[in-house]
Amino acid sequence: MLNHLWLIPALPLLGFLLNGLFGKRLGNGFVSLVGPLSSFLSAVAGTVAVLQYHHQYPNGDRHVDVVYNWISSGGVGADLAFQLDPLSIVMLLVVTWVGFLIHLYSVGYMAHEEGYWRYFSYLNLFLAEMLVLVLGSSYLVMFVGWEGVGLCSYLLIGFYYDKDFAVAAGKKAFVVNRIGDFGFLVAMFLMFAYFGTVDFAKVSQIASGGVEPGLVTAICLLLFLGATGKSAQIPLYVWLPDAMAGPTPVSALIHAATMVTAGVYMIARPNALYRLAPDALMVVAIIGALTAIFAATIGIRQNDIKKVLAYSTVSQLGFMFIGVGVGAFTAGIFHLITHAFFKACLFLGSGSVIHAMSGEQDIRRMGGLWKKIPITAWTFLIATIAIAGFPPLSGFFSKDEILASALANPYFPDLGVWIWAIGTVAALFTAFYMFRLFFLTFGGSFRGTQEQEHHLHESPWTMTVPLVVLAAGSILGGALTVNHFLEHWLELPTFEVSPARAWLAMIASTIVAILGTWFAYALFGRRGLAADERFERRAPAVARTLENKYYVDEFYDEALVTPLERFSRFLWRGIDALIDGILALGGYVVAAVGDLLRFLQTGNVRNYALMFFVGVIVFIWIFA
Amino acid sequence: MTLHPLIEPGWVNAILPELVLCVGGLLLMLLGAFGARLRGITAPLALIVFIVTAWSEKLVLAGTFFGGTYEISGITRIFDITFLLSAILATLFAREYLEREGIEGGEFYALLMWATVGMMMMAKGLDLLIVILGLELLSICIFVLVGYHRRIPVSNEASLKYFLMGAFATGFILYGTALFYGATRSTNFTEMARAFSTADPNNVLLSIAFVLLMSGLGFKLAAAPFHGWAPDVYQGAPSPIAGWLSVAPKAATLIALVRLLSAMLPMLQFSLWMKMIAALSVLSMVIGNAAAIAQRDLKRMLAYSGIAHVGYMLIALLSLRDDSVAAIAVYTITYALMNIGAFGVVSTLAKNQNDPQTLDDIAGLGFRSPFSGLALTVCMFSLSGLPPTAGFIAKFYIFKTAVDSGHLAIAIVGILTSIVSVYYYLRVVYYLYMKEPAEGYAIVPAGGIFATGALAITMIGIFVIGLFPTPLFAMAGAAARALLP
Repeated sequence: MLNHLWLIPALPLLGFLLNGLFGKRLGNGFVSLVGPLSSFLSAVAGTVAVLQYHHQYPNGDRHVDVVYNWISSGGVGADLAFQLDPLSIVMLLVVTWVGFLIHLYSVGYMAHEEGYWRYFSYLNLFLAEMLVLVLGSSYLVMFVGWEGVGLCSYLLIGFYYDKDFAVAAGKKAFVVNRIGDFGFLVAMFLMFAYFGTVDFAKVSQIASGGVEPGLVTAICLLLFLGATGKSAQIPLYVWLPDAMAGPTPVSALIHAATMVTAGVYMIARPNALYRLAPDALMVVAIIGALTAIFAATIGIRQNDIKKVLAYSTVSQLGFMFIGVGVGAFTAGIFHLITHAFFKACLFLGSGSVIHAMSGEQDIRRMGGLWKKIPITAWTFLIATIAIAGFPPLSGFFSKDEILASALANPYFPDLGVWIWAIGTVAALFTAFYMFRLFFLTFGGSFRGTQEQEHHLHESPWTMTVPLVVLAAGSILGGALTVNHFLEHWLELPTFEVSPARAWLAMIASTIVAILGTWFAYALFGRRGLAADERFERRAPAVARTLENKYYVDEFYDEALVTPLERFSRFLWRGIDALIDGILALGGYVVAAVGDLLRFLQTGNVRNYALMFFVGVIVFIWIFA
Repeated sequence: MTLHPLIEPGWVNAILPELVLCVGGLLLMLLGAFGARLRGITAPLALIVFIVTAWSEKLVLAGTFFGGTYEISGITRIFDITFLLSAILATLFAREYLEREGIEGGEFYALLMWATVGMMMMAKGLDLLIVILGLELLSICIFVLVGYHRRIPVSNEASLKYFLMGAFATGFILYGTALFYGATRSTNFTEMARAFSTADPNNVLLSIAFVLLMSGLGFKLAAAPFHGWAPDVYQGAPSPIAGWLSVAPKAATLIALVRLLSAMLPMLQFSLWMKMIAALSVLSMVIGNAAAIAQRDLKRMLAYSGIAHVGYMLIALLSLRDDSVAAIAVYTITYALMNIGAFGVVSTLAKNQNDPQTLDDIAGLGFRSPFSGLALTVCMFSLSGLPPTAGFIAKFYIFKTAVDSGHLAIAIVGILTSIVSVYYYLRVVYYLYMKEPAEGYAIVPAGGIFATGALAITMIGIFVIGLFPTPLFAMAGAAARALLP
């Protein structure tokens, strides 16, 4: 298997081709078989490769499997090659197994949807591209996967294309991600130009050999620009909440567990570069901290069950960036793993709730679901406890490790305290908004219509089994930290956290988790929706600002989108106007030529010739 | 100046491909005269002629002919193949299009052949006059081909526009050539290069000559600000011809430019001339991509996108090295596949050709006609430069030459604008798969076996070049090394 790593992404790619080409004709049974099966086989193949790797490379060296030499030009080349090393393995296992569970879940969830084959072919394609992303051995191969997952994300967000908001959301995701891709591309060309390679190991090696620090900082910041797009960080986070327009399993897989964490991987992978550029690291940590608290406060006032989880994802991704940003790469990746479990569980749980509520997503019309859908409720509760940061569930360990590292980081110790403080407050908000969500959804009494109540039902086994598995993962994920297992296994650069700081962080984390939960219980557990109304009465301005997400979308529309649209229109329509303007300005000569050409009388030809002529004159003036 | 005997032994071998095309064109004209019964076989015959020509390329020996005015080398062979590929694809799409529109005739393919001869002359000419001769032969054929849909007003209008503007541009080219002759006493590239090596870089006359010539050629390339004609002409021309027109003449002009500029290399190092090419490139990328966003008409959108693609290709001209010439060669072949393919899908939309073909016409096409939808999707992915398609590789090579030769700023403009371009290319895919057609309005593509075959060729080509670009690039690189001084 180690010499056929390409099989791992090729299997879901085959699934994509089969479902895409024949799915419509051969029916849902065929699709239900091919879709989950190809992802399962890919997961098995990946696991076999991991076991073989473990046997062959007990020291955790890098295994590279070159498929062939893809591009070569002027002594510089790039192979189409896949690699296995501990970091890739972690990503591989998360992507394939969580991916398989969500494929399985989708069989139940999407059963009655039109375009079932389309859905599974996109989902298979996504899995293939995501595996290319995490297994690629160079930035170029990673970029192939990077673009591919972006495309699938766009297609899946817009899956319900008869709904305008879904289509708009897809478009928004696509446009925002383009800005990030620009950073990635330029960073890659800089590597090609100055290092002569884009291979992960070689780039790190050359950079460590001593190059201009400014260049490394530039590359790191450009890569981070790419990461802010894909991983929804300030200022490019705006697409992720809207992406919830896609089917819920997609939100779980792409917009929580896998694709959006690619940005974290993108910082952890070239950690050698980032350690040479502490300024870039600091930017990552600050952006992460700001995003963590910013998104957490918005989460308090959202009423769409998926929107709450979306802002929660943005906020949790912020935590991961704090981790990698303060140089605690293991902690960032650890949180990526635990988050994949509990957030996938929460999203799939929300899907199960929506399924039970006949499509309702507004938590103000839910309530009292605890007894009606017990499996969903229990797994949701477990995942909520995990994300809120209660020991000994997984979220506590990973989040605590990030915050303790922020406090103790050697790169910028003074700032580290502030980042820790912001992170801890964000953790308080996290516990609060998550338990608000839980109490409003499952606690109290039912607030929906009678018809909805009549239809309430627990989901089929293909949906509940993944929930249970993911909940178990949310509980047990913390075990990865026992004896510093993950740290030794990943072998990423790290630093010592003194016991005093570790205890301080741990106690603070526990206190805020309890406090946040208690507030949520006191307000929403006891009073239900009345608590929200009181908030609105007491502080209407704050409530409205949070509800409208700090008006960032409106700001972007006014400050960027509208002017850009105008500019494009100007360039197009304005070309004619421009010529007329030049005509007026150019005075005598140009006007005379215009008169000369007027006899042609064939519509715009006169204008084109004039533009041509003016162009020549200007060029002669400048260049001759 | 010594006089060479113009006709040397072996001259037939030198222009064998051109001769095959000329004779083939005459035969098809004659066939056309024999009435309607033989019309069905004109297109297959034309295909055979093109394939025979491609095969005859193998018999041609490299060397200089006709008194040092005509050079055949590896790179001219690669470009000849690009012209023939474009012509073959255009023929395949034209076959059913012309039949459906009721305007089939042998002269259509004959004109395509003679136009190809003109382009071959442009690629091989070692003398400005030969290049201009080829250019004029090409242009006259284009005038007729653009207006070939003679009963349709937009087609006539497009033809007239291209004719008027083309005549205008030719004036600039000829005037520039005359000034060059005045300054260097020759129109031969080899001798011009000798004169340039001792010329004063600040010579205003030479600079004006360069700007005039470059502007005229910029027109043929549809590079901004000399692009005004392109959207109107592409919109009016029969769709298979629009696709061909957007690719082949540009490729011919580019290779002629490479030869001309490499003769001027001593001058280019010192002057502002390279800056003019940079300006053309940046303007084309910005105006082309920005204006394409606002288009709803598919052919106009592709016209503006073509302007942008010329901008990318011009980047490679900034550094005249073997890898940049190879990058241009790879780009033109890729561009031929993806752009003629895209126009080809448009040409299969059975609709009144006087009306614009808009995005609404392809709404939901991906479900009505999965094969056409897939082909157009692949072309759009490639045009936007998504990996692993050929479009990504081609752009990659271009931007890499820019970065390697220190033109980082222009590479960034290229990357930024090509990222903007993804928006309008993907909008096509969005219409294909995420949009329901308006009530009672569902155009089904009317392409038959020929169009299907052409689309299959484009799709296979796009993925083969995208996944295995190295052999092609290495071949073009080796050929380019022989070309450059």
